[in-house]
This record gives sequence, C-alpha cells and structure tokens, in this order.
Amino acid sequence: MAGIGFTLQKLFREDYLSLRVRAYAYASFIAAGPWILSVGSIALINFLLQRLGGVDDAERQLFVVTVSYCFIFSQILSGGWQLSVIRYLADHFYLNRLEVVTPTFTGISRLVLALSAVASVIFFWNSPLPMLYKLGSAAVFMLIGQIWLAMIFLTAAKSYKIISLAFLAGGAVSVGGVLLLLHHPLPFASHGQATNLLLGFGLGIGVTATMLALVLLRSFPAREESNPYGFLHYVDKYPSLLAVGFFYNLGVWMHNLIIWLGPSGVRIERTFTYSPLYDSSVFLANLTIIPSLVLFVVSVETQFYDKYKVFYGYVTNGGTLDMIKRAKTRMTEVLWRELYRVTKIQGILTLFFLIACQALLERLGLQKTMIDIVRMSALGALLGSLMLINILIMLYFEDRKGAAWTAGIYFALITVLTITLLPLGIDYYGFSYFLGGAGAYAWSGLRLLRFLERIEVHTFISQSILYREVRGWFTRLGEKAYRWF
Amino acid sequence: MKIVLLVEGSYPYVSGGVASWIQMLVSSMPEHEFEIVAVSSSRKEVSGYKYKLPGNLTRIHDIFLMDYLELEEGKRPRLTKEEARACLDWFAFREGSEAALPLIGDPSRLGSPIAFMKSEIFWEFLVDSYTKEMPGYSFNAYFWAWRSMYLPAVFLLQQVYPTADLYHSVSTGYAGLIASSLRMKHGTPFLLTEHGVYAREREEEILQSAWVDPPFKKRWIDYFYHLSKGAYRAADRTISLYGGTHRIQRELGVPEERALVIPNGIDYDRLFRLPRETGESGRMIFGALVRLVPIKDIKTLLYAARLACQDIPHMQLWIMGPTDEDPDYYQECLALTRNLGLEGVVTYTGKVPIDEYLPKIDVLILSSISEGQPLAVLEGMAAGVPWICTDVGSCRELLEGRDEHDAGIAGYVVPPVNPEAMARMMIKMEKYPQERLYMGQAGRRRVSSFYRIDQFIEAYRKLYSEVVT
Repeated sequence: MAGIGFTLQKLFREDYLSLRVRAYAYASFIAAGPWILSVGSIALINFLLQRLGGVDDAERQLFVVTVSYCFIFSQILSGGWQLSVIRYLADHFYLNRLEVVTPTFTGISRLVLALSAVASVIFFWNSPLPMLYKLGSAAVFMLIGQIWLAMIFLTAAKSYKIISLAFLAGGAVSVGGVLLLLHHPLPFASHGQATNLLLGFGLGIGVTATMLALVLLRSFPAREESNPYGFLHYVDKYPSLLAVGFFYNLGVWMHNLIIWLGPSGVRIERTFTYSPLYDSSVFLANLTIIPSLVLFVVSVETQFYDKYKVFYGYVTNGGTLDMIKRAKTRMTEVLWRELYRVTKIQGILTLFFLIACQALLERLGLQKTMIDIVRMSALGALLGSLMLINILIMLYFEDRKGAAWTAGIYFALITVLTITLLPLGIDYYGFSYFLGGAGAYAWSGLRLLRFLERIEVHTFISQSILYREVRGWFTRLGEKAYRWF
Repeated sequence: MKIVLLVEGSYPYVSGGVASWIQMLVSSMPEHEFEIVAVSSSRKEVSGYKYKLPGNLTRIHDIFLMDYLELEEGKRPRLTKEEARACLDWFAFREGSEAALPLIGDPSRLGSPIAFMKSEIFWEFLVDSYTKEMPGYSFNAYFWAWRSMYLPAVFLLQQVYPTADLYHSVSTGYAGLIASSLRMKHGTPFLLTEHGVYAREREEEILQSAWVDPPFKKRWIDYFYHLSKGAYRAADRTISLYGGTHRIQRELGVPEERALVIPNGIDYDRLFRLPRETGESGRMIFGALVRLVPIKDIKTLLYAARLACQDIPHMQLWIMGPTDEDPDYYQECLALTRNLGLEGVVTYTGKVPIDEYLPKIDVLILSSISEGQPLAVLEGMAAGVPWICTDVGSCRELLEGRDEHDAGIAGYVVPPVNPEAMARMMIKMEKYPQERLYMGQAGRRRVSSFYRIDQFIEAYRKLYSEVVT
C-alpha cells in the first residue's frame, strides 16, 4: 500500500470531476484492497442467495462459510508478505530493474500456493465432505490468494483500470455462473447445490485471477534471469515488514477465529466452525471504514508528499539545519492537519452510522444483540483503520520498528482480550476488537508523535554507515529454492 | 612486570622504524612480559606478521578502527547531568577534559556510540556547534564529519583492553587516546614515546589531503592536537628520541619534569666489526636502506642519481628494502627509473641482510621527507659508512652532533625534495675519498658514545622500574 498514492497526485491534477471520481474508486481498491473485497463479496453473495430463493439453507450456509474461509485465510497467508514484496519491488523500480517483477510474481505465487496447499490438506484431512467439494474449495482458496498477490504488483504498476475491469468481469461471470448452475445443476452425489454454487463462483474467481495474471505478464518484461525467490532476501533485510504484514492481518481476523470457539460458534459438516452472528456483524461494521482509507490515500498522500519530498531533499542534498527544520515543521503541520481531517470525517461518518444503524438494521430484521455487536465493531474498525494509517506513515519515515510494534500490540491485545472476554458472553462481543484497536491506535499515535518530534535526529542517525548485506535464513531459503525449482 | 605496548599502524604488520624499535625493545628485555595492542585501520589492510615474535611477547590484541562501521544502536546512555557535561567537554576539545575518557569508554554509562550520538544532550551539542561554526553549510556534511571523527574514538575507548603494570604507548593519536583512558581508569602508569610528532604529521597530511572537505580541515587538525595534548597531560613520562621533537612536545604542553629524551640504539658491537670492502678503483656504490613508500621520496633520489651519474663514471645505486608495502609506488619508481634511462645504474635489491651489503657501500643516502630518528642512519654510521641525508627529523643531529662536545661530521645534510643539492653532495663524496673515510670514523665514534642498544635498553629498563614503583 505504501507509496502507491503518490502517483495519484498526477490523477488529481486534472480537474475533471469524472476523473476525480474514478481516482477515488481506484484508491479504495489500493488502500482497502483485499479486505474490503472479501467482506463485500461475502455480504453480497449472502444477500443475493437469500433473495434468490430456491437454495436449501444448509447448502447456502456451507457455501458462504467455505467462501469466507477462503477469503480470510488467503488474506492471512498472502497478505503477510505484502509489505516485504512491495518494498522489494519499490527498491527495484527505483533502480529501473523492471525485469525482477515477473520472476518475483512467480516466486511469491509458488510460495503462497505451496503454503495454501499444505494448509488445505491439513484442514480437510478429517473432514467428511466429498473429495470433489474439498478440491473445489481448495482451488478457490488458492485462486483468491493469487488475486491478492497480483494486486500488489498491478497497483505498483498503476493498472487500476484493469484491476477494476478484472473484478467486474469476474463478478459478472460468478453471478452468471451461479444463476446458470442453479437452474441447470450438474449432478453431484452429495451437497449438489453447494458444489454447484462453488463451481459457479469459482469460475468468476478464475476469470479475475487469469485476467490479472495475463495483464501482469504483459505489462512487465518477461526475462526470467533473476531469482524468483530473491524477495525473500528482503525478509531478512527488513524482518519488521513481514511482522507488520502478518500481525496486522492476523489481528484483523483473530477475534473472529477465537469467537468461533465460543458458545455462538456453529460447526457445520464437521469441518467449518463459524459464528453467524458475530461474523456478519463484523463484516458489516468493517464496510463502514472504506471512506477513511480512501481519504487517507488521496488526501494525506497527495497533500503530504510534496512536503515529505522537500524535507528529505534538504536532508540528503546539503540543506542547512535551518532549512531542514523549517521543512520539518511544514511537513508535520500538513501531516497532522490531514490526519485530523481524515479522523474527523471518518469519525462523523461512523457516528452517523452508529445512530442510524438502529433504525436501519431493525428494518432489515436484525436482533438487538447483533446491532450492539455491529456498533461496537464499527468503533473497532474505525480505530483499526486509523492505526493502519499510522503504521503506513511510520513506514514512510522508516520507523519500521514502530510499525512492527504497533501491529504486534494490535494482534496481542485483540487475542488476549478476546480470550479474556469470551466467558462474559455475547454482551461483550466486539469489545476486544474495539479495545485492541483503541490500545494499538493510542500507542501508535504516541509513538508517531514522539518520533516526528525528533524526526531529523532519527533520520540522520539511521543513515546507515555502510551498506551491509544481511544474509539470514530466508535469503538462504530463497537461494536453495532457486536451485531446486 | 607486565607491559602493554600500544601501537598504531605499525608493529607487527608493518616493518620499519617504529616496528623495529619495538622488536628491539621487547627482545632485549626478556625479564618482562609484553603484550601488544595493535590499532590498525581495517582487517583488510593487515596481512601476516612482519617480525618473528619474541618469546616474552605473549599476546597481540588487534583493534580495527574501521570496525566502528559495524556498530549497532545498542544500549542507551545513563549519565548524570555532570557526567554528560564532562563527556561533552571532551568532545568540545576542552583542555583537561581527558578525565572523562573512562566514562566515554564505559558502554553501560555512555551507552553505545550510536545511541549516545542520538541522545538529546549530544544532539543539542552537535546542533549548537554547527550553529556556531558553519550554520550556512550542509548539515548532512557536518553530521558526517562528526560521525567519522567521534564514532571511531568512542568505539576504540569502548573496547576491552588487557590490564597491565604499565601502559607504554608508542605514539599519541588513537593509541595514546586508549592509553590515556586506561591510565585514568586503572591508575596504571603510562609512558608515551613519540618517534615523530603525531599531531604535526597529521596536520601536514590533512592540509595536503583531498579527502578532507576544506571547511573541515581546521576541525580535523584541532582534533588530532586535542588527542595529542590529552595524552601529554595524562602520561607519566613523555619520551622523545631527539631534541627537535622534545622541544615541540614541550611547546604542546608536556611538563618539563615529565619530558625526557632517550635516543634510539642499535647493535654497535656487531656492526662496527663489519669490514669496509670499498675503494676498488673506479667503482662508486651509493646505497639507500629504505622501504619503497612515498614518504621516503625515492623519486627525488632517482632524479639526483640521474644528475650525478653524468659526473660519476661507473656509478651504482642500490635501493635496498621491501617493495611490497606500497606496490603502486614501487611500480611508479620502476617506471621513473626507465624513463630516466637509469636501468644500468639503479638496482632494486629488495630486503637484504645488511651485514652483507653494508661493507660494499661507499655512501648511504636518505631522501625522506619525514623521519624521526632513523635506525638505518645509525646502522650505517656504526658500519662506518658516510651519509647524505635530507634535513628531516634528527638527521642533522645524528650527522653533525648534538652540541660542541660532540664534534665531527658523519655526512652531509641536504634540503628535502631537492635533487640538485643531493646530486652535488654525491659528486663531492665521490671526489674526496679521504673525507668519506673521516666521516665513517666520526659516525662510528658518535654511535658508540650515544646510540648503542645497551644504552637505550638500560634507559628504558630504569624508566620502567622507576614509574612502576
């Protein structure tokens, strides 16, 4: 995510309203990305299937849970690598070494595919579901993972248009496929409807994944001479980036995973456990923070980038201390102003949602407890997204340690609080998400404040004295993998 | 007793003046145990010992200055206000601030060098100095200058050093800095011997160098004077080899009662027995006992040989010394030899056993631009060979005598980097063989009276026991 917003500045210089709208739409893809898409698709599928009728309730549930699992776990498995890969690509773009892109995509794809395959086998080992269904869901699981990976690369290449196109086309094929297979189902021995639904949905996912991969291969030179696992070196070089990626993605989902094991958890087909009540509440609540991420990408990055560039320009290109300090003041002023603006707008929107959701959700027929969970989770989502913004800013200033600590605190707080609050029952659902987000957000805010106060000190002291090659476990793994595969 | 010698950029990795002196000192005092702290620039620049280590030299502790580049952030400072002030006084080159050295050298107090530079108090000090010194100049450049000035020093001070009954540093600079700190920390006596004047040498180097950004030259020069003066104040005795350096040391602040002169000494009894095999008709061999490095200014010697060989038929010039220390310079000398058409005149013998070669040499030449008290000159004098030396270090004192009680000249002194003057003396030497004989005698007499190894060793033996008890 980091660094991509800068190109948007160009987009926004053109004063057309339509252009502006398009850029906002693209920006939401970049910032909120996989996470929003997951939540959105599951909500949409659920809604459509319920409206459509004619689908057996148990079959629908099985299908929806399968897809949720695919989204959640693919994101944890592939999202963790995201920042390391982005940093690797950014550094190589800077050196104009575009030829690493295709091999790197191949490398990370294989890695995540292998991890996903192992995870699928372990997960389905004792499951009574038919083999065909298991294979189908494993395929969807892996394809979704590939989509998240391709998006990292394509946003780096600014192919926003093609990403939207691929999702639209994939969505259309999914809907079409599902409708077609519901009316003319293929004869499966058991779980016929669920398998047909999965198949139809999988077709769309396949279309999206294929389109993204094709565009990717076409946009970058396809010379294969560099090591596809070279990015693993960056895991050794910046282990904190891997930590940020995994802790953040785990933190976002951890409270769901733990609550599944509680009394509200439902187990179906002796395979999937989930909490219909909690999961849909959280999914819904998470959708409320799309504006903040869009606002951050557009407003903070475009406003702030110029000032940021001036500051680092003075630091490295012979500015006097006075110039550096003045640039720092201007930069931090803009940053705080923009952060305040994002917080204010999103805060108002969330507040509005908190008030409105009572009437809105009751009309949709939701229970009181669920509305409470939605409200609490909306606050949790708000704090989580503000925390994510702080993490991204820390990464701009190379405070990787601060970013890793924030993500680690987020994950730890949510895990511990969810476990602690679980025995208190349903009235306390959503509290851990809220409190974890609040704690991590507060910590990140203080860290950022203190870090920026002495940003010039940190910047000078951290200038590495000498380039030192870090070779660790991941680097060696990458080299071995290159030799074997 | 256990004596730790602190040596910078010399023994046992480099052969030549200071290193031979150390080898001589250590092997002549088998009753004491010696350890060496060898400060070198970087791991890459040292290769193999150039000396066979004497049995009483039990350990060599290597310290590599450039290892500071690998420093990590590490521990945070834990200094009281007064302690921090004392440390900053040292960083500000304040007189008498070396009492803070043990504090700077203690990572549990000062913190790691990097963390200390990051600390608020140091950063304020840095910004303050910058604002006073050059507020209109690139802060980044200023910061890097500070970094390369202070990080190595703090890094050195924070290394672990052996304990001893006596620390003996063979220069000021970084070795002297370490010794000063150890003196402050343990109260162990500290002797300082300077062959040249370290701060002066650095000053000349910095003024001529291209790698120091001109606005920072003054600061760097001041820095090395700061190191030297600190060592002068901390040392129990400061020893020079001859009057010239003694006077400069006194000017720079060595108290009179702690300053003394102990000249070099060489193995007179062996060398004076060497026969003179010169005098074959028509043959004239000039020799140079010298490492092939720029400071020895071999090129001036070659130009002088070019001029002299027009007047001296069958002249030979033997350049006797290791060529591997600065291979580029050696190649340059070879090329110059060819360009001057001196292939038939000049021979590069490499390192040779001097006892075999000295008897055949008619006149020895030293063309250095900088020297302390060169052992080679003393050895040549002991063997009865007359000299032509540039007027550097203690050469004039060696060839012409210290005072009126020490009469007789053992050779000619010429200005450095002056091939014509050197060639004139070479021709003069060739013309008057009787003079040469007389000069050889004068040289032998002088060495036997003042520069014998037993005198030199005895002086140090006495000094050691005097400062330790």
